[in-house]
Amino acid sequence: MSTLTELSREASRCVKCGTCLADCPIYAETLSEVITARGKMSLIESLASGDIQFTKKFKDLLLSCVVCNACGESCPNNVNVGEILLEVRRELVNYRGLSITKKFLFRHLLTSLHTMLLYLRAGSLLQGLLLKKIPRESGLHLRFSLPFISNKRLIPALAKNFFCDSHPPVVKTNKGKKRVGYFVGCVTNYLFPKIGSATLRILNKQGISIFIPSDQKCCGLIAFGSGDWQSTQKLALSNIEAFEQINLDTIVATCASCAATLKVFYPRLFKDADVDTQKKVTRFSHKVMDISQFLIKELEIPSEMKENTLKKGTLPKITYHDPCHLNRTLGISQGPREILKSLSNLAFVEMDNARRCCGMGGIFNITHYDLSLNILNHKLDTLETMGVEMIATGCSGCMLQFMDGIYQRGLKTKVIHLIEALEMG
Amino acid sequence: MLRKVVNEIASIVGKGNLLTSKEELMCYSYDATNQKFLPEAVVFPHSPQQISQIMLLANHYSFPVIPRGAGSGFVGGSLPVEGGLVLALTKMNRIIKIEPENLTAVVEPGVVTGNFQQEVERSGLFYPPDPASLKFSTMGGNVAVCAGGPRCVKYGVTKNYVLGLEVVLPTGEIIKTGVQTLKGVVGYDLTSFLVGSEGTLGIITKIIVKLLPLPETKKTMLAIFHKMDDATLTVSSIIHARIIPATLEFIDQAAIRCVEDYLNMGLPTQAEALLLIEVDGDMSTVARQSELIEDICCKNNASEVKIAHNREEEEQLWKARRSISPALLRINPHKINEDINVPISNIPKIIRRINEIAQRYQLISVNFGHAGDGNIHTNLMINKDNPDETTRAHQAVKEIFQAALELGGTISGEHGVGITKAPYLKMEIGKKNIALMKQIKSLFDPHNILNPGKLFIK
Repeated sequence: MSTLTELSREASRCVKCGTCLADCPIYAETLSEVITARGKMSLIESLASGDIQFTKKFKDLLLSCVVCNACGESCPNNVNVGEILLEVRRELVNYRGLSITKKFLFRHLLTSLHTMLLYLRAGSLLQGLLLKKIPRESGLHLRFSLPFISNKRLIPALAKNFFCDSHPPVVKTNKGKKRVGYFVGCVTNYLFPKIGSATLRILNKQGISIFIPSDQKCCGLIAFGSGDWQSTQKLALSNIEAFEQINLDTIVATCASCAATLKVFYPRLFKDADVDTQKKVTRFSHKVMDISQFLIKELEIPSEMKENTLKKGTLPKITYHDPCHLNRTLGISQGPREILKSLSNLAFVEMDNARRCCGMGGIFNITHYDLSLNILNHKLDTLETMGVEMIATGCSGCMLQFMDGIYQRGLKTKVIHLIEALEMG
Repeated sequence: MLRKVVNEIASIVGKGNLLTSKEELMCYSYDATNQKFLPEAVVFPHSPQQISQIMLLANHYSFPVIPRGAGSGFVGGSLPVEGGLVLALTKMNRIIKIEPENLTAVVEPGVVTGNFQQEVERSGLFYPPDPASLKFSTMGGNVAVCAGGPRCVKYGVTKNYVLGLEVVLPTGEIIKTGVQTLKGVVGYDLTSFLVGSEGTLGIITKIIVKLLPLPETKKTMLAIFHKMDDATLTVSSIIHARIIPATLEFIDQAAIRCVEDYLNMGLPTQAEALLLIEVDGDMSTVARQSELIEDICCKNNASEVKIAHNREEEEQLWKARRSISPALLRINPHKINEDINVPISNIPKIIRRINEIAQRYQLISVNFGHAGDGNIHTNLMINKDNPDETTRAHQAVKEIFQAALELGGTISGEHGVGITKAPYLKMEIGKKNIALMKQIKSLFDPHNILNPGKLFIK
């Protein structure tokens, strides 16, 4: 119980001023305080004092959050809401255990690359039976409705060839520049290999040797967000080992959520581990960089590509959405914009409330689908008014969310990864 | 609360608009005082008719009803101190109309003040009251406590903008008060009774406000003073020069040191006061007034006057003022935040008195606030886990109130009374006034079911 007491002490730094109401994307939809940060901080205090227990209701309230941490960012007392919530979710799992579905997903599937690939390869072959291809879209929808999934929903198709299956583990150049590891991430690997291919082409052109360990697994964020630290730690250690075998200068990730997990959440997972493990994790995490940061810091991309400002008026317009994990967890928001502004074939336009969460929130999008889409709708309204041709972002979760919403609303805006925009420009 | 009553409430608003589990009720047990009282149920009404039906039930079964906006008050006005039903008005949040030709607007109580301001500004209009909580506090809550803010030095407080109201009385009748016009003197001014009544006389369901044309431009300045007296002399000199700035905020030495220690933004820690000044209006007026103010600051020994030339520089100047809250909590985990108000000329005297009182009780005091109207936020920094310190702080607060009254002031400029200031009510307004107010209360609310336990101590 000592952890809970510590967490409660941290939560009690919240003075209930209400500032968090202003920035919570869920409160904006529900207008009910049961989902706000100060409500949750209050519940955590009551949990520690024994006033309430780990009830089903408590669990529901605790999981009704996208963990965008907009509240933590604007908190006048700097209460780290996101961090507290994720730790209480671990306590919840310790106490109540995992649901059968989550147990299967995290402990059986994610942590075993072999089993995961078996299922996904079968899925890639058989998806046509259950799902129907949507013309013009790189996605599918259900041929019939299932209990939890609407048949309107856009389900991204599994790639015919997974990225790690179709690319050699080492792509070397002779220019002798940096040795860079690539953490591919599930979405790029299984759904959008084109993001990975674009990354390789860009880095190769810069004379960088790229190493793609074939035994890398899921970063584990989905398990971490559900409070399953056990599975996440297992995944973390096996990923660290996969990359440790090669002597690397940097490890890049093209998904903001993966990058945030490897760089920020991994050290947090092992803060109570033995010194050697901690050192190992820190050594790994220090090397991790989001691709946009790497392009700017190491390759000075924008300055190399002098922009052509003259014709911007007639060019296709592109805007940018800040992924919470990139903007808030990793503190990266200017770099991606600099890259987009430097492109000569596209005109960058800023969107209102670019930093507001898209509503994805990992598993939140499945457990609270309607709410998740309502949060996204504000962003779609903005896109519709702006009439932009493209929206770029740096997180595969945000991409999936935007693709679904844009498809359902019938908008023409194309969702692309920053790295794809760079190739276009 | 009886199951039967809960069921009847559910049949009025629908089950989806009623909370009864302990976990959910806990999320409605607090406000910005950080005190907790568990309600027995929380309801989200959508219309005055629903509220009216709920009030009839409350009278019949005799349970307290506590109206609540964003729960951001500093005096406990929305706390269910006697249990009962919290009436959360956040879902009644429509802006019903904005009429540029009449300079008026009609809103429901759950509209967030900052959102309303953005909306009217789109039509070139202006709703000035700007409490620090404007990004999340509601129009209903602002009207119920007559909220103020930095801009009020020039533009006045919430009550100066409320023309009329729709209100559900504690007995369930729905009435309309006031007018939709800029003038109106028919009968007693019931609107004024209700503005600032802290949810004890009626539940506000519609608000008619007056608007102003949006000023064309503004300019922000920050002046640094080594002597507090020079800063206050500057305040009166500015007013003497026939300029009322849109904002005239001051920060004392303790607050300056605190913020500097927190942010290292290069503030002079030897300075006794900073003044943050904003003027607004048309281009030429703003240019002329800001030059005059700069001149006045210099003549009154300001060691430096910084002027913002763009939005970013404006933000930079506001940063010191806005960072006080987080900076303060580095001194001690809790603060007692009071909002006394004195005549402008007595600001130096009250600051000296506060510091002397705090010193005597071995407490750290930090002062900042609205110098232009004499409204001072005095903060006593304490650790609530230290009961001795807390007791000393409460004794100090009483003396600070006494000092404010002796200097011709009031114990609350903009927060209200609620529960935290109820024990001190008698110090300021006396027995006769309290008796009269209690009679008014019982006239509106014969069964004392609407927000009981507030303003008056039993």
